[in-house]
Amino acid sequence: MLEMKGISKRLGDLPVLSDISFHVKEGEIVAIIGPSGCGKSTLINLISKLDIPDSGSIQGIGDSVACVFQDDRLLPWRTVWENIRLVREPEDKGKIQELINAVGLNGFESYYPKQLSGGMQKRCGIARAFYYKGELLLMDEPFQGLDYCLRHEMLLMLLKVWRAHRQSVLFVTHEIDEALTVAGRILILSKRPGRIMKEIILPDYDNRDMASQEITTLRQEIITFITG
Amino acid sequence: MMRNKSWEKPSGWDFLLAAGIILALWQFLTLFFPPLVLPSIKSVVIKLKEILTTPVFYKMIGLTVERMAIGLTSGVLVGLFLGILMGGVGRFRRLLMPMISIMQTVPPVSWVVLALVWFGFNGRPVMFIIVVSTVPVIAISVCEGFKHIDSRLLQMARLYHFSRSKTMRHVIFPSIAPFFQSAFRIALGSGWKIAVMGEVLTTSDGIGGMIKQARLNIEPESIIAWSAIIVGLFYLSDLLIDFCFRERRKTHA
Repeated sequence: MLEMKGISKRLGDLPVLSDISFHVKEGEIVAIIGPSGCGKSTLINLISKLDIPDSGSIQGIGDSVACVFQDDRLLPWRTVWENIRLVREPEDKGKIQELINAVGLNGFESYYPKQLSGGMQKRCGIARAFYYKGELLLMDEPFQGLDYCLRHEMLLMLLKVWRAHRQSVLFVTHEIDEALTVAGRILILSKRPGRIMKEIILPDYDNRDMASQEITTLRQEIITFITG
Repeated sequence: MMRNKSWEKPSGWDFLLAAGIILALWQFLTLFFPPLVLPSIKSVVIKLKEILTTPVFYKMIGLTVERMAIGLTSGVLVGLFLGILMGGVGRFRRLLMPMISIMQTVPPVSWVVLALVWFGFNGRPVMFIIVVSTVPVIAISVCEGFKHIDSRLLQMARLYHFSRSKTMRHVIFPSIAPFFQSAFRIALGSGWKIAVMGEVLTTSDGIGGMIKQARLNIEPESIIAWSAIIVGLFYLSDLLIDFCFRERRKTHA
C-alpha cells in the first residue's frame, strides 16, 4: 500500500518535514498526531500530489487518493447527491444511496450544503471520499471545529463506514482521543521540522475500551511525546 | 447567511410610494410652467393611451426590442468570451485589459458618430453601440470573478481528477456566475438607455425615432409618454432576469 521513504520538505527556507518514513497497509487506519505546525497538512499535500517532496519517495499508491479536508470543500451550488456523484464516473446510484444512508444523510439528498449543519456537511464530505474509492483515503483534521459530542458521533460513524468498506485511511489530527478511537496504529510527529518520533500499535477495535488503563497509559505517553 | 434588511430590494409598495411622490411633485410644478415646457399628467396619460392603441406602437417597440436583443446578446457573448480568456490566461489579461479599459472610456456618442460613418443611417449603429457598451462591463466583471474562485475547490477538483470541462462546468462557471449576473443587470439597464439614445441620433424608427419625431413636433407629452414606455420595458426585462436568477439565489443565499 502506501510506502513513504525519507521524505523531506522545505517551504521557502523553513524545513517542514525531515526524513519521514512510514507505511499504511491495505484496509488499515493509521493516525498521524503531532503539535500544530509540525507539517501534518504538508504531508497530506505531498501524498495527494498537490505538492512534491524535496527528497524521498512515495510509493504504492497511484493517482486515486481521496481526501476529507479540514474544511468541507463541497460545491455550494450542487446538492448532497451531486457533490458525491461528481467524483466518480459512471454514476453508481446504489452505492451513493448506500453511503448517504451510512453517514445518516438519507432524506437530505437534494439539499444544498448551505442548508446543512456543519456536521452534516462533514458527513457529506466523508460519503464523497468513500464513494471515490481511492486507493487511500486521507483525512486532514476532518472533525476540527465540531463540539465534543458531535465529534464522537462522527468518529463512530466513520468507523462504521470504514468497517463496511475496509479502505486504507491516513487520519491526521492533533486530537489524541480521536486518534485513539479510530486508528489501528498511531505515528507521533515531532515539532517542526516534523519527523516520526514514535509508533504506537493499538489494541484491536473489538477489545478497545477507551476508559481502560492501557488506553489511559497510551494517552499519557502520547502527551509526553508531544509536549516533549 | 443573514442579509442586512436595509439592503433588500424595494417592494411594490415602495415603488408605488416613490411614483406617488414623483406624480405629486410633477402636478405641483405644472402650476408654475406652461404645457409646452411641462405637460400635465392628464395630457401624458391621454398620449400614452393613444400610443398604446395605435398599431404603429407595436412595430416601433418591436424594432427597439429587436435591436436591444441582438446588441445585448452579441455584447454578452463577446464579453463573456473575452472575460473568460482574460480570467483564465494571464497573458491575455495583460494584453486585453488596457484595450477594454480604453474601450470603456470612449463616450457612447463618439461610438454613435463612428458607427454612423461605418454603417449609415439604419438600425445597425444602435446595435453596435449596445455591443461596445456591453462588452467591457461583462468582460471586466467575468475576469474579476476568476479572482474570487475558491482555490480550495480547484484543489478538490484536481484531487478527484475532474477533467478540464468538468472543472469549468462545476467549479469555474458557478463561481463567476454572480459576477456575470450583476454585470448583466448593469448592461441591461444601460442597454435600454443607449438603444434609445442611438435611435434618436441615427434612425427615424424605433422608440428613439418616435422621441425624435415628438421633439421636432414640440410634443413634450409624447416624449414623456415614450419615456414611460421605455421605463416599463426596462422593468419588464429586469423582472424577467430576476425570475431567471431567482432559483440560484434561493439555494446559495
